[in-house]
Amino acid sequence: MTDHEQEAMIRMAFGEAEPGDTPSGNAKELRQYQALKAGLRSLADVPECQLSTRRLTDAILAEKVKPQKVAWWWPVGLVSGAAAVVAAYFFFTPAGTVKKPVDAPLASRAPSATHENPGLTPAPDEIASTTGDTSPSATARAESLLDRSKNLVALNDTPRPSLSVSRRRAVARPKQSVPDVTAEIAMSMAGNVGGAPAMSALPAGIGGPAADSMATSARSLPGSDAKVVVVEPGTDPLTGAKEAQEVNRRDVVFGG
Amino acid sequence: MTSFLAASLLLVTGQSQAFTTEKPANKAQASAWTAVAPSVAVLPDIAGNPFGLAFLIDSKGYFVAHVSSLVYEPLTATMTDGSKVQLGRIGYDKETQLVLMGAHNWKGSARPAMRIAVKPSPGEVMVATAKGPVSGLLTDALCAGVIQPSQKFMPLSEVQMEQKDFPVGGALVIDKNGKLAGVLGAVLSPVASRASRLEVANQGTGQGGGGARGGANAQKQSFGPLGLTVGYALGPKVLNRVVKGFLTETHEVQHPSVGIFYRVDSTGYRVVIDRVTADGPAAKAGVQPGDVVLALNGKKITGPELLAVMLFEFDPGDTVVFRIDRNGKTIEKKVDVGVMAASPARDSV
Repeated sequence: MTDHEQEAMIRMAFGEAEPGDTPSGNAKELRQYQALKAGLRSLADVPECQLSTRRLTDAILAEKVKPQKVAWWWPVGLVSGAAAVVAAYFFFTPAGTVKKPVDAPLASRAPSATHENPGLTPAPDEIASTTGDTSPSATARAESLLDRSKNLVALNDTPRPSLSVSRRRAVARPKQSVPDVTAEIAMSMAGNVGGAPAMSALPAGIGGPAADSMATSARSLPGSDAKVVVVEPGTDPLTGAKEAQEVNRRDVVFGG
Repeated sequence: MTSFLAASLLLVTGQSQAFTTEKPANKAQASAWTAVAPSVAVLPDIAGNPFGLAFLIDSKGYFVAHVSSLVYEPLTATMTDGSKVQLGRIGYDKETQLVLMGAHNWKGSARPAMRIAVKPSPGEVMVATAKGPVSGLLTDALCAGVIQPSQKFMPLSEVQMEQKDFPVGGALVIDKNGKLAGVLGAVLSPVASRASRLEVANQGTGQGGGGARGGANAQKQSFGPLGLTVGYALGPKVLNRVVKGFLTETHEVQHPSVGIFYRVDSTGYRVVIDRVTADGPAAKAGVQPGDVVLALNGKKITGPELLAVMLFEFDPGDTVVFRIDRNGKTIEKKVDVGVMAASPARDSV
């Protein structure tokens, strides 16, 4: 059956036969097309309310994604490979390769000879001459400017710490704006636990050695997220003890 | 007659060993258990099974137990040597939830009272439970505790111990010298934040800095196949205060109070007065809600915990000076430290 004949049969099956159409196929094929037409007519439009992403999601999930087959040696090989790469890195990296951060003060960061390029650095009197002022004071100012620029060069050439060192330093940040009370609490509580005359030694007046020592021991770390243990009236069914939870101190009202 | 005595001895011995299903982990814990055993009474549950512990505080037969160790009362407790003692409640401290119990017809005047440690060092401890000694670790993490529902501050020590399938509420934390280092007042709830549990997990296994306090019923910790229970113990300072109060004629404990409730404000470190107890010392001195506490006795207040610790360490009768910021104006108020309201003997048990 040619395409033309097939189209003619479809038109007949759908009741759209044209004058020139002549049935060339068998009756079985015609009945199949007629059944197809009946089936299409029985399809109702999907209500708008049923066109939801949830239904679509359910339908997709109902299909079930087949688990991908992974070779049994793949996890072992992956771990072994990673370990080998790490081991190779440490093995082939000399101990002194990791640059340490320079914590020296700026004053000690004087530029070394390797950072100076005589060909690029003008002399103080040359700088002074470019301004049209060749007096001794102008030359002195130019020298001062050169010194500052050298310091800046030294600062820019300061070896940058490696990533791992940067991370460690990030943990040990020395200064924060908000003072923390953790150390103070710990210290005062240490005296408390030990029965030592920590805060009880404080006179009703001002200060006291305990307060002074607490102040000197205070660390400067953010303490706004410190945890407070809240002992609740309920009992833990497993241990029979009162239940406690750690709560951010922002969410706790203290009584005293 | 001889057979009767032998049977009695066997019975007593059997009773004394019946509840100690746990064995000391090492010599130090064994000696600590031996030291405190004569001063300890095992409290039963309704079925008569060992449930909690009470410790002797004097030669007259006064015992102290945490309220979570008690199922019913009066009760018949069993000393570790098998002898029986009838205990009834005499007093109660609401802030610490410790109960004072008195023995009827006390005949154990020769028994030593429990010795309270002066300054327990962080490290290995023995946690005495109704089932016997359990390995524990007294950490150096000292916690700011708030007792619900009173909201009152209480300093707590963190104790990590083997997780057991029997009650440990009110267990006694014994240091290596056989002295009482704390009473387990609470355990970290299993529903605590996962982050906190991980912090403690790291802390317990030494794999990280951990949180300042951390803690949790994190599973698979450093105590072997069983998990780890993180508890919070009332320390010696508090215990001494409670015992001292219980042994007075009125059996009342006097905790200092100025009658304020406070919290940290949006800055994260400034302490603002939330409420003032009517007719309390602070109210009488003119402290008002909304006041920001700048300093106490000249000491700069950098957080609510610090203020709580300082207030807790004063004694009733002391006078403290609050420097406060009220609407941008700095003023000072002198407040006489009072006493927290006395606890009814049977409050909220």
